[in-house]
Amino acid sequence: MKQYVSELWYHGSTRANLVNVVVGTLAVIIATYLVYSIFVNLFDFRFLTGPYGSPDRSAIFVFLHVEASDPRWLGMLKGAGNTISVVVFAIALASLLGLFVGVARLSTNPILNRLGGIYVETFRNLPLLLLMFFFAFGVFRSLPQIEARTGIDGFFMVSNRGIAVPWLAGAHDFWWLWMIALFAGGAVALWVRRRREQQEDLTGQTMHGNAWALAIFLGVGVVSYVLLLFPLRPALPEVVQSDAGFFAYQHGALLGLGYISALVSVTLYFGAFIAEIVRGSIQAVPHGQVEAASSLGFTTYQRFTLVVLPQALRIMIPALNNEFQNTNKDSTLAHVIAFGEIVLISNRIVNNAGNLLQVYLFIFIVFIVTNLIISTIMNTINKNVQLK
Amino acid sequence: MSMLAVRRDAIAERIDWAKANLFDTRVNTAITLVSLVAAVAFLFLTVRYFLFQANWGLVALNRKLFFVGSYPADEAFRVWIAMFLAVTLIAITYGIWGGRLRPYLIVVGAVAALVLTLGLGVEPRIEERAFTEIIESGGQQTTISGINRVLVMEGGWAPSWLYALSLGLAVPFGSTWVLMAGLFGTLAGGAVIGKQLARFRSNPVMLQGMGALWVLLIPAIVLLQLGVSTNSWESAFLDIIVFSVGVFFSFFIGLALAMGRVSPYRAIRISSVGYIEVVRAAPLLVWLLFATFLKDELGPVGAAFSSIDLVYRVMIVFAFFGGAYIAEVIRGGLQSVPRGQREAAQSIGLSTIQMYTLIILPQAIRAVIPAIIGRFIALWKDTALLAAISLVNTLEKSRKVLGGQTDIAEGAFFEIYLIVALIYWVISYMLSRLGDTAESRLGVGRR
Repeated sequence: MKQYVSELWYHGSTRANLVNVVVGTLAVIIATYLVYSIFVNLFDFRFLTGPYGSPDRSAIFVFLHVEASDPRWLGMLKGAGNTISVVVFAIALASLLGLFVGVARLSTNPILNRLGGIYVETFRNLPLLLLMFFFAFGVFRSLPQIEARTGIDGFFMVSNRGIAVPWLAGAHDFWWLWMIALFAGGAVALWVRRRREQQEDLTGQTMHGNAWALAIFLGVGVVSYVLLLFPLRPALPEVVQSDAGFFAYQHGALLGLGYISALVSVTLYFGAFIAEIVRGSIQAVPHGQVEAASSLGFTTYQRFTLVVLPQALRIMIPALNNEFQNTNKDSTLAHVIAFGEIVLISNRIVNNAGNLLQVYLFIFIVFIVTNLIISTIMNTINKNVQLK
Repeated sequence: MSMLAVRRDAIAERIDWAKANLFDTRVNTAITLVSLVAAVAFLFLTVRYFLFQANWGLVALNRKLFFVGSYPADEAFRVWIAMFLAVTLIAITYGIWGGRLRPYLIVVGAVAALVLTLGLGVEPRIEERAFTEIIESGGQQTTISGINRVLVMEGGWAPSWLYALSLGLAVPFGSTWVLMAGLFGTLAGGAVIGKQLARFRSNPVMLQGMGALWVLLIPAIVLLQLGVSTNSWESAFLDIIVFSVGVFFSFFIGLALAMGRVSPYRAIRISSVGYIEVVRAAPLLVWLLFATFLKDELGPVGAAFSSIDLVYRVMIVFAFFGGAYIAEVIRGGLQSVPRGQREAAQSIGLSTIQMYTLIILPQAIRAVIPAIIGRFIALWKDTALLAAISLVNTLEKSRKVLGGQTDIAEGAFFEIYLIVALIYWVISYMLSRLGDTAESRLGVGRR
């Protein structure tokens, strides 16, 4: 008997099948249990149509403000929009900052070099939440009251409610049609540019792909802007006093306390990480490349933009992809400083209606989708910068 | 050559250096001037703030809160024993594998002198002072009287900014001068003993022994605290405990998952990948909130989980979340071990377990130690997130201090956040130096 068991155990495929069956069954049981709990046991999404309850106006754009009468599903979508409104700007600003500091850290100028080093070592080693607390509960809360605001009145106003800046306002209900027109124009422009570049490669004639693309995009934009009766117009912020005597910002975009604290902290924090990625990637470009460029008579600027940066990008982009996904995920911390992003909205819904699993499943899906989008964009860029 | 000539040469050398590095092109000259202005302004503002503007009384008053929160004073011995255990091990390890002894001893001695003498004289306290004020408005006189709370810090020999320097190390519990002295003594003595043991540093018994002590340290520290209710685990103490437990378990969970990812059995492989990807898809904060809110939504399993104390639930989340990330790091290490190593191990007849423990894992983990330390740094910074789930960690304590003592905390938020930032920054920075040292010592990427 013992020998029989031992033979069975040491017979390769038998053991593999046994392990696969046991572990696979366990995994399937656990997965089924989870899915069952979420969908079968609690297959109840009716709560999504109930009213959200309390208004949340911490978003920068008016269309992302969550109103009390909004259904809960709309509230969650607006929360996701708020998350994206932080992440997009934070990624752009942090990349710029990181590029600048990363290059500064490689400068032969010792002072610039050290300043960059101090910045990176400071912000890389601090928790992001601490930065958010510092800005939200420290710096921005100690700004003046709205009555005693500073800045330029009617244009750029700073108070402890936030910073009000000019923005665009929709002139009628169908202003978003213009956005669609712009997207379509952009797509057509890109297509034309590609065609022209292909022809240029084939015939050798100069086809001015970029100029054509720009002309088409601008043409579509201007014509549709006129045809749609000037859908978006600039709106200057102003301060109004209600009947009860309270002051409030109106029009323009309000970079609220939560939003601006989140944006500044996320930018500073991830700027430090991106700076390290930029520095490492540039250092990884072989020094011979720089020397070759110098011996061909390139200026420092040309050497950097034409020789070093394109090669560094190849190394940089996979690491940046990872860092941008982290930016996306870590933007959730902004809910602690009362910015109405997805987790804050979801937690309020959980408090009011329960339905923890359904709500958190939604958060989960939002992050999978947004990270997938980031990853797709970065992979496309990566494909374009790789050696062909 | 006369002294003067030598001196002139040295100055000329400096000028040449500055010409070559700071003023070689017009652009560089502009950069130099701008960054010089920025650096001088930064330095000036920092020094002026530290010496003249900052009000450190509030920090000094609340220093115990920042370190141990409301930990009961008569159970303090648990924290002290834990600190002594950790300090002893750190000092001995430094002595054996660290750098030179003299600069280390000088720093320890200087800090000890500062902290011990500062601790003697001064104790900040809040004084209540009655005041009466007469206000004239519209020909009417109104008398207002009340009590002002004033922060008093007197009796010490040093200016208050010097106290600020020592606050990061300040005595957390009342009269503990002897214990504090003992702690610094241990830091110095342990390193000296370690230096004597340094000649055995490549001895396998030594390596395994020290490794075992380090692995045992964390459970020992945590088990010591079990006599105190988790309700009074607060501030830096809470952060450090959660971090330690997270580090300890996430490493082993990560190891198991990484082995699972490269397992020859498809079911294990797929479940490991599934677990890792699912956990990494959502941010840690979402998992922490989920663990906080979960009641009975997941049936009996969820109910059992939610009946665990919140601090332990958080530790579980940290361990499993950190494990998913560490698994990816260790997998990278496993892939970096050349295939020939595995084949050689198999050809000399080692069993699978022997092959992994003796051949593959030592090489794999050695290759990724710096990256693992990087993950630990992230885990340490993530302990700040406890503030988001109603646990009172260092960050949340700072908010409580600022909110609870508004009359004397007026405008002192910068000082408070600076000290909190220092607590997080120091540990994080030390870990990152450790990672750099490990990277250069292990010669990762150079062999």
